[in-house]
Amino acid sequence: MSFVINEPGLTCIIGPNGVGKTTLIRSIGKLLNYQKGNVSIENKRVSEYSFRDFAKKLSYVSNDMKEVFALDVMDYVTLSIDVRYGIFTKNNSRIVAQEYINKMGLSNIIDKKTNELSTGQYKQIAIIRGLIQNTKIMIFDEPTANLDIKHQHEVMRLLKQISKDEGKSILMVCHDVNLASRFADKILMMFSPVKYKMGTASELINEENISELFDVSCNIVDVNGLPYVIFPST
Amino acid sequence: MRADKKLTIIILVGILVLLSLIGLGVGSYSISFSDVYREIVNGLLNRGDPNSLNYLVVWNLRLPILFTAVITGVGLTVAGATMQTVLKNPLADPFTTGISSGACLGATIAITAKIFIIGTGIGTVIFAFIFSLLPVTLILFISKFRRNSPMSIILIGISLMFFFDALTAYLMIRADPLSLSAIYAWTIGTLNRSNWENLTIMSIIVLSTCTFIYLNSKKINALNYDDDTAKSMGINVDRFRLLMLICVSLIAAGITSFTGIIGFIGLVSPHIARLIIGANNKYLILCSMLVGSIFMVFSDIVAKTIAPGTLPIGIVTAMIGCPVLIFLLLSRKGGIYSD
Repeated sequence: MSFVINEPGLTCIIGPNGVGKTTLIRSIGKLLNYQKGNVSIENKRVSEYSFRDFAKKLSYVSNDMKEVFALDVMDYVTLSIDVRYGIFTKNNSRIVAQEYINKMGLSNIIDKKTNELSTGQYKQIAIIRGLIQNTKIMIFDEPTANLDIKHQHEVMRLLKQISKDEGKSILMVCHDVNLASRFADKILMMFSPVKYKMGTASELINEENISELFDVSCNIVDVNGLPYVIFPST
Repeated sequence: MRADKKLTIIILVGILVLLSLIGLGVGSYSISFSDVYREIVNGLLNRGDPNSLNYLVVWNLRLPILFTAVITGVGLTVAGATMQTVLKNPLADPFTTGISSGACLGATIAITAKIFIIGTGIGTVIFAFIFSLLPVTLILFISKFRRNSPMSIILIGISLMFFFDALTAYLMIRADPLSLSAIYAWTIGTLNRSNWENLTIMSIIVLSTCTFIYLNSKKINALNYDDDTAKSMGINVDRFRLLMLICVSLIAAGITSFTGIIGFIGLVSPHIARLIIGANNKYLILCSMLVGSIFMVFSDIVAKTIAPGTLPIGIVTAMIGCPVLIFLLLSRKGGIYSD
């Protein structure tokens, strides 16, 4: 497969389990040594960047929420900037973090430890941690997994807004076709590791593609001008 | 540093100083506290009589033992705190991963084979360091190719510990009587062999390595999360983990070569420090140094009070550390496992 992302916006990768969505984003994020092919950012191969320089180009928020020991929320969200500086160097990451935390209405959890947060809150501060890294490209592995509908929408709305307001290219894996349809600027459909389609929701979300993608029958209805998928028989 | 954390550190320094002053006055030779402090001041001002028994006891026994206790506590606790995050394993420390046993075996081989200039201690340290790297290499190798589960690392470490201990025991059986007593001291863990010369070598190794770890403490924080997350923050995870484990081996070798295997300090003290100051390594490393040395000085006082001059400190640390560890494992709030 071959594609280029050259403008800000939210791109959702959808596809069945095991098709290689996470492998794809990990390859882009310099987290996997791939055998063939090439990923480049600003005309430089990903493998040619040092980890340190790469962290200034791209931030990656994984789906893994495991931690060995719980940190304070503030220490956690500022981590990705804090590691760049020496132990005695002051930096403004806390001020930036405070702004994002206020913006997302999370100021009530600022004094907590990370193991005292709900799954939804943890996902949100993980997004803030990625944002503080202040990179043009951001990758999220299933940021809406294990969230209730309200929080799913909140997270998607936030990512969409960030991509628009701050001109970031956001690439994310998403399992919910309808969330992707409603929020994504572009959709990358992975049918197999070699077969894919890329386009807007209106172009790609139709009965033929969805049936082929997930091997289920479906109906498409129109909601506010966007395709909405219903799975009647499954 | 935030004000509350600063206060905590100051209080811990106060406790350490207080316990040290008490520890200096306790021992098998009967000497009053005021005489101890007088001899210290006299020595510092070059006024003391170097041939008096009081002076010799204070300057050649009590002070080296106290400082060895402090350095041992600092080193083992920083090593434990670092390993627990870097290996993502709350049960990791130089003892449970076989690093101390490896160092002990290396030291034993150096003594029995009479390699290098053993009298100075440097040859022993070099051998201890080389052998302490064996468990590190094996752990890194296994976690590279198999899933790095906390339990498997500890199980490997404990089996290595038995293997190295068996080899050490074999060398002891074959050793000549003179070497035997030297090796025996190592396997128990004792401060009784402390002198200024050993202390100098040990301090240089431990304090420089701990400083290096402290300067990298923010990066250690990143390893608190999955490797993908740490890499995305700009850490070359594999290289950094190896570097930190080499540091830990250096600390363990530097300490074990002179005191032998002292268990539980490196495992328990970092957890106590986390309860006190939180898990952010920027503060934790500093706090660990203090908690570890307080633990060691306290254990030394206990050992000298129960059986003056005869009870090795390794026995006391295990006796105190074991119940503390069980408490930490079982307690829900602030316990080792949060789930």
